[in-house]
Amino acid sequence: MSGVRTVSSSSANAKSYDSIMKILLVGDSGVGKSCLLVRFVEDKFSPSFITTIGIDFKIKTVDINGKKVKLQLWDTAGQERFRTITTAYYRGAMGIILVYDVTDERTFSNIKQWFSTVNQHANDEAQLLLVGNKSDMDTRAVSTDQGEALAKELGIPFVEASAKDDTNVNDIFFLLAKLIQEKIDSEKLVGNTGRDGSVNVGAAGNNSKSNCC
Amino acid sequence: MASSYTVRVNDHEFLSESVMDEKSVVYFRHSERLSKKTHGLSCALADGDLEALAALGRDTDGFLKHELRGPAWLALLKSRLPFDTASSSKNGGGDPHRDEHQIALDVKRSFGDIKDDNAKAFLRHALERTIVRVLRAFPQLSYYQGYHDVCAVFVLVFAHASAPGVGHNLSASTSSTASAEGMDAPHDSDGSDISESLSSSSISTKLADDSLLLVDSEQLFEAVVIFTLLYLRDFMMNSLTFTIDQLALIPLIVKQKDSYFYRTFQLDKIDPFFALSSILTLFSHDLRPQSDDAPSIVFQVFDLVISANSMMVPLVAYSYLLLAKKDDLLLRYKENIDNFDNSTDLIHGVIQQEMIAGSSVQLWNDILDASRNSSLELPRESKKILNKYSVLLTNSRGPILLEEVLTWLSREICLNESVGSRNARLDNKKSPVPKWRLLAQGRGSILVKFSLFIGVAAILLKLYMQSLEGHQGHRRIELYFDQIKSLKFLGLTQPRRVWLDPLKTLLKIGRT
Repeated sequence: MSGVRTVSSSSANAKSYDSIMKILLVGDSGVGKSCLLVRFVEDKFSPSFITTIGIDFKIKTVDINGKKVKLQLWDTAGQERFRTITTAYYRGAMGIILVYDVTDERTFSNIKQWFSTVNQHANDEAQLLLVGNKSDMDTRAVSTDQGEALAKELGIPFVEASAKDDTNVNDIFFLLAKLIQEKIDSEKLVGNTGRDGSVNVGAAGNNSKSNCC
Repeated sequence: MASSYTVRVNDHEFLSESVMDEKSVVYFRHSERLSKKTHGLSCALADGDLEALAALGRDTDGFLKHELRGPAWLALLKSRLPFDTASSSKNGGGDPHRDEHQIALDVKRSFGDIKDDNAKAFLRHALERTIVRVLRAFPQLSYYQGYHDVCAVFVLVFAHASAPGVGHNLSASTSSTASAEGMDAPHDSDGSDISESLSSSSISTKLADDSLLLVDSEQLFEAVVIFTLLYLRDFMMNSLTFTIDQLALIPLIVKQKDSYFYRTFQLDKIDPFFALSSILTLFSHDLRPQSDDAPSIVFQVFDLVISANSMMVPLVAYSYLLLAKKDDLLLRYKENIDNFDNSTDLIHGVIQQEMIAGSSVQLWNDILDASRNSSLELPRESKKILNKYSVLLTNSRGPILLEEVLTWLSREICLNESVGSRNARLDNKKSPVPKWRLLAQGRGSILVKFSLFIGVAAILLKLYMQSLEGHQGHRRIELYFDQIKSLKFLGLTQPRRVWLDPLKTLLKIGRT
């Protein structure tokens, strides 16, 4: 899989992890992208989080099938005007989480727009995941069935979560990481062995169309 | 006055060697300097001496405290752009602005670090009211996420708390705050008591400890409007194009100071999007949550912008911050070179981990001092990058009329829209290298100029031959040839005008 960086022994951080995955969170403003991220990385929730302006970056190392995987998590601003900038960071993303707010119909209907933006700017191989956040709220406007139906239509997995009461938050990131790892492993089996063990920087953007090497 | 101050400072220095230990002398000098400055600021405010006021604001520690800061900001801002609040509708009249939904979302996430719930709700209310009022008064402005951070700084400066039992005297200086609790309470999502006197310009709320928090909303509005129109226009277009242009000056400033770091840290190759939130919010977004000392730094950044009348301040400060941190940044860069997908990610990741979070108050004070001492001049290439109505190019010393600023604004919006549609077309062909980067790298048009030179030379030669035969326009061509010769020795870096003029001359020759 393109964009995979298996860590070489010469790297300064070689001992702390086995591989790195770049993951991006997108979705309308206020759906709780940063809250999900902070819950996952720092296990905190505050009802009054600050807005994300442009792009924020966080790191968390997790254990997937006995391997230490360093997740590079890129949080994006939801406001439309930042899209020109945030799309510059789609390059090389191996996982992209599309987030909507189950209490806000508008954020749900905008997912299709986000889906097409992602398809336009991200690698073809990037693993997508649909997340309906704020599942703890009584004022729900989008049902679980609607979420599932949309996920099916888009052909991507779906999780409902709540950053507030910590429902399914870890699952989002572990599920995504596992799916990415599976893609990596299956691609290795399919004869992409040339890259095994080597460091591959900056190649992700170029070979989404031509998959030669 | 000035000389006696110097003498006393020298006395202290002398004392430091004998009676007092170093720390107490530093403290003594610092506190004396502060009281001296407080006095100077009060006098300048009372006398309306704006030059002295601006000089003090540009000096170490800025305007010191909010009691002085608010009036100082307002006096300076009003002197630059006389603005009549009465002419703009009072309670946010005018039609709702298209961005009010986004504003509500962001206001809800403001003042998160204020502990008192009443105070928090009150400040949010004042913030939302102010932003909405500004945007309804000037609907041509587009709201951006981060504008609320900028306005929140103003809300804090124009908010006053009076101690319990002291009464409402504080309001006397600002307006008659006949607290009309419950009478004209504005709607507030948190349901807290926010009073708004019917006749005055103040709003207030009672805090848990019985003290009163109040904001003079007229002054707040006035300050925010003027600041917005003078300094934030570039950010309030309907796209980020002109903001990105401003960001492009950061690598240029760094390059002037340290070209090795500029190249090694890839600043010649990547878009400096990493600085976006710092510049859009004049650091109020990034500095807020770090420490108790951080707020005072943010206010001093604003002090400097207002005193120096220049939005170069955040760009220069950011560049100096990069330079101050360059060793750490380069180290982390080398450590992480294999860990990121591309240079944009790498530089952004490294900066985010190292810069803002890892910067001490001491470092920030150094950065502020360096920015204060900076000429705040634009890098040479700026005029080719910025649009000509940019806030960085339109600042003048004298007062500007509102009509003038609004004309710049509407022209800038027109330009932005034409750039926007051009970019949309280009987007389909995959984005080319931005023009600023070509300029920054000193590449680009040399090839074009060279081809032009060859072409013009060929035409000239032909005409010269013809004129030799016909003896017409002979003199003019000779003159022109001299011009071309001198150009050749000067190199090809002449302004474009020089290349256009000979063509005109030639066309005339052709006609004769």
